[in-house]
Amino acid sequence: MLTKLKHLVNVSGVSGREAAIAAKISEYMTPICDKVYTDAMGSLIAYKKGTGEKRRKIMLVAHMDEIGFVVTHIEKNGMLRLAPIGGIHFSASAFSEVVFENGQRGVLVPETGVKPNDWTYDKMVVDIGAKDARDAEKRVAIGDFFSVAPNVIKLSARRIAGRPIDDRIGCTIMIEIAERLQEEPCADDVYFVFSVQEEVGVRGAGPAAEQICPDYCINFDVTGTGDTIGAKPMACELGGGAAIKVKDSSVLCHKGVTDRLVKLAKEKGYKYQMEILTAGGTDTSAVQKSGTGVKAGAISIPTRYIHSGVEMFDLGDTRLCVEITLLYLHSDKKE
Amino acid sequence: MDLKSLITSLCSLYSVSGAEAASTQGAEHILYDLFDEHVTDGVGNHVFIKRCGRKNAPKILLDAHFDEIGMMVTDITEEGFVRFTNVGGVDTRILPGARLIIYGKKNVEGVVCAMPTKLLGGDPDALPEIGQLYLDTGWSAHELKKMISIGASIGFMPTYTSLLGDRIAGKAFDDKACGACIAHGVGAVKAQDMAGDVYFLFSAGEETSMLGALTGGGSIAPDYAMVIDVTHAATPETVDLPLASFGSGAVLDYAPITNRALTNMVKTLLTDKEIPFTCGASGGSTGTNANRLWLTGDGVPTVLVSLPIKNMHSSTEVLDLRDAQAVADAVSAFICSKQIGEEFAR
Amino acid sequence: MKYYGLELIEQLCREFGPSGCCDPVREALVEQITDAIDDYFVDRVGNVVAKVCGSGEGYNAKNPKKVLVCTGMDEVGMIINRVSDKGHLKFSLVGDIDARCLGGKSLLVGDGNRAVKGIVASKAIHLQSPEERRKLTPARKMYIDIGAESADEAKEYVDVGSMATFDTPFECFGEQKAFMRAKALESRLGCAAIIELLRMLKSGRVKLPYDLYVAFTDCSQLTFSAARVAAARVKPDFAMIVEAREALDYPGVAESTRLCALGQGVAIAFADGCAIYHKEHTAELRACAQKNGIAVQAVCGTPRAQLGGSVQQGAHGVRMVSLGYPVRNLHTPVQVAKVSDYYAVRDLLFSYVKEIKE
Repeated sequence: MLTKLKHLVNVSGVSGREAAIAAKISEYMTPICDKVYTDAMGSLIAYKKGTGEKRRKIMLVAHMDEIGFVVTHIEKNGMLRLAPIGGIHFSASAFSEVVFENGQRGVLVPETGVKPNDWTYDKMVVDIGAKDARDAEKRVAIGDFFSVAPNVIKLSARRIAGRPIDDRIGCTIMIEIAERLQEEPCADDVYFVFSVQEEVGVRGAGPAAEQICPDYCINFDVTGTGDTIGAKPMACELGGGAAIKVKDSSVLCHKGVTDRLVKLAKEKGYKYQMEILTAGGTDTSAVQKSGTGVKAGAISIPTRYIHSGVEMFDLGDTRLCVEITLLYLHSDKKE
Repeated sequence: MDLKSLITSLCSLYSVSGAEAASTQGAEHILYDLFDEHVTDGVGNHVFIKRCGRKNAPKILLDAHFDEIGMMVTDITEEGFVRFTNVGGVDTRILPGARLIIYGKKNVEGVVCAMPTKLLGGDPDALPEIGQLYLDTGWSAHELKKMISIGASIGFMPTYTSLLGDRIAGKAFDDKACGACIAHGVGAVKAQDMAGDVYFLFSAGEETSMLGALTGGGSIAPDYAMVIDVTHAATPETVDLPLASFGSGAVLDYAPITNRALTNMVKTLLTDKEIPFTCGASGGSTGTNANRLWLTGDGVPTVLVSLPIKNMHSSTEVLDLRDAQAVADAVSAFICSKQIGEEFAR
Repeated sequence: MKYYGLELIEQLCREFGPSGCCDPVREALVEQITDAIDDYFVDRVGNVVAKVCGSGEGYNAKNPKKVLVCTGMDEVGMIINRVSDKGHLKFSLVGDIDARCLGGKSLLVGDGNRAVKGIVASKAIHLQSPEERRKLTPARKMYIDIGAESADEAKEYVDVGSMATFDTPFECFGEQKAFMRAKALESRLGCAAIIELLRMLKSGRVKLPYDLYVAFTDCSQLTFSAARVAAARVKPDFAMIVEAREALDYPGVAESTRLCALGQGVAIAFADGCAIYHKEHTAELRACAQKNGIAVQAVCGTPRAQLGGSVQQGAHGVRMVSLGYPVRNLHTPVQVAKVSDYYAVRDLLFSYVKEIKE
């Protein structure tokens, strides 16, 4: 699982520029799915036909895009101006290495003398070591997307930090599930949707769901925790098990689906916790609103320091996400 | 059932956003006599249908949202106190000392601890955040966990008080009181007098994401629609604002996103029928399901009507039954208007 | 110097059309496009959608590809929310108007079918307290004066729900009269460019290998934009968004924060507040401009916008490019644009629709 995650993390995929990461994921999915394709938005959809007679459509979704930046201007001295793509904390991204789609490297730094509280996108520049604007223009162009360099640090047997864990870990879980379904097929049709543009306002999952018209949907994404020093109270922690979502600021999950997930986890003695995220939205909401409404739930991966370069999660929780989802897929009752 | 009982019985139902399905039977029990059919869907919408008896009749959608603001259990402390967060825009200022009810396997009543400010950081004027409040249920954690779990919804106590005149106070007039007006208005007319089949979308999730109007509008695909929601009534602190006073009837809202021609026709209709109303206007988003409904399917011509209430999103919302009656009358007139039917049928 | 085609812009800008109250604009648009299209309809939320059937080489008559060109038709304005006893009109803002530019401006107030003149009252400077002089008066404290002396007199002409737009004439000005100033350039310049596109296709007898749809949409600047419905109905395979882009090329503004500048040509955005435009098609669009000698500039930033996102979500996902025209003083009574930028948008549309292979 960790190897897979490393492979995915190392391919860039800023929102709106997901072609490379989609290609990487399709390498995993193509051999084990019946059909793999991308839609007009660029979301990668892998379809695995069920073995049953009357098959329901289950959609699993994780977003493959990551937060990043776009070049908006090249200064005379060759420094680059930028705008954020997605929810960037500049205090967490300053003084970091950045990577462009074409492999060009640079460093993201604040203007000299600007205090950390004032680090906003218009006070930040990227230095790619260019002599002047002309030199810079040979290597990058206005409109190029880039992100903070990927990174995976193994802290212990279970704890991993790095970026972008949000939401390559969700993609990894889905690949893992698809592989497990090879061994033990599902009676229902399963659509694995690796969605685009989640980080800029959940734009990709809705259109995908409109086409698929699923009966049920499970979303995999990271969620915050209450186990860091100074954290707001939240009954969710690393190592506490898979986080079954009740609500976030964008969605109230379908109660039937949520209750079923809890019941299945409880029966098997799998460790789980209830997730109530008071800030932050996910693809779950977009899928729920699609068509005439979709019964949607979510299983989240408790993650510390989200949207930083050191997003941290627990491998044990991740495995439980896979196991509980498999129980759900194999369960006759979905709600 | 008279309008007042209809309002209090519907508003008493437990329907915090996300838990709309829990009161399916309750809603059906109250409304079944007034409609021909009741259907529910995957996101918690209730659709009550009354047929006019003619084939290929236009579909008239009436929307009021079924859900209400409330709270949700986020944690149960070792001592048996409950932490919670808001579902929708709850006014945190009124919570300390409030009586709440947790809807679990068993319903558990409790009061929100009114802790002295010295325990909340010392500033006597500071207001606690919702995450700092505790609900005191009187149960031990062990016993409590048998009855409720994290994620259970919490609502205000369904108690209703008759004030002077035609005014009543209580929870969740937003927006089930409007649902009651719709039901009352639909119940007051004969099926054959209606200009089309009436679909009363008692919609889910308005307070959080307007989910129900979006999906319900798409699946019903009406010819035209009336959205009814509450609006702020004039109070001493709102003298500068263009708000309707109690007793002035329904409020007919103009907005960029609502259909101007339809709104004008409703205005003429209400004037002709001598149903009391005033006009209001909003410049952008209306804060109601109309925002979503008009963009569903191939577009829905929508008119917005509001019921003025005071103290919105609190446990003591106040409405005036005369205004509610005017809204109900407006509904009756709207669904029976052949002229509107002819103009807006597909 | 006399420029071609400005009468069209002048006429469109003159029409009364705040969001949700666009009847005169709709009528003018329909009249202007009728001769150049195969079919059109006004949909149930007021969008004008027209179609030019394809016929060129590679056209699949059974299952034609569809390309949508979409722009807004509405303008910012005000909506009356109360008529005072003395006949003064209180209002809410419709759209993204900066309240600082309201005081002392002339207005048209009505519902599109008839309108009366009015002004946004501004308290005489002598009557303002020192405090008031320094501070912005919020819109809710302002009122419109149509000259009525009582509520009854006012209500003969307007009522709660009536709307207002700025009453600014269309004028060319500046060196060689190369600049335009008017209200409503924010949307009508795009409408004019698309009308010209249709005429050029017609007069040039251009055969396209796909069905071309154009949509003039209502409420285009609001969060809940009607373009969503047009896109859902057309279900295009590809979309081009034509809209105003805010030009902040005022003195003292760093190049990096100008977004775009007048006279630099079509302002092509890579991403805005609600959509990310298609990478390869945007590159194609730029190459097309270069090949045809049409000036283009990159939008330096991700400006606020609604239209592209509404089209993309309404269509349930579609690849898009953005063709913007720079406008100074966007969403104000006197918007300023340059004729050459308008021509550039028109010409690039015409060149590019012929290149699309869909």
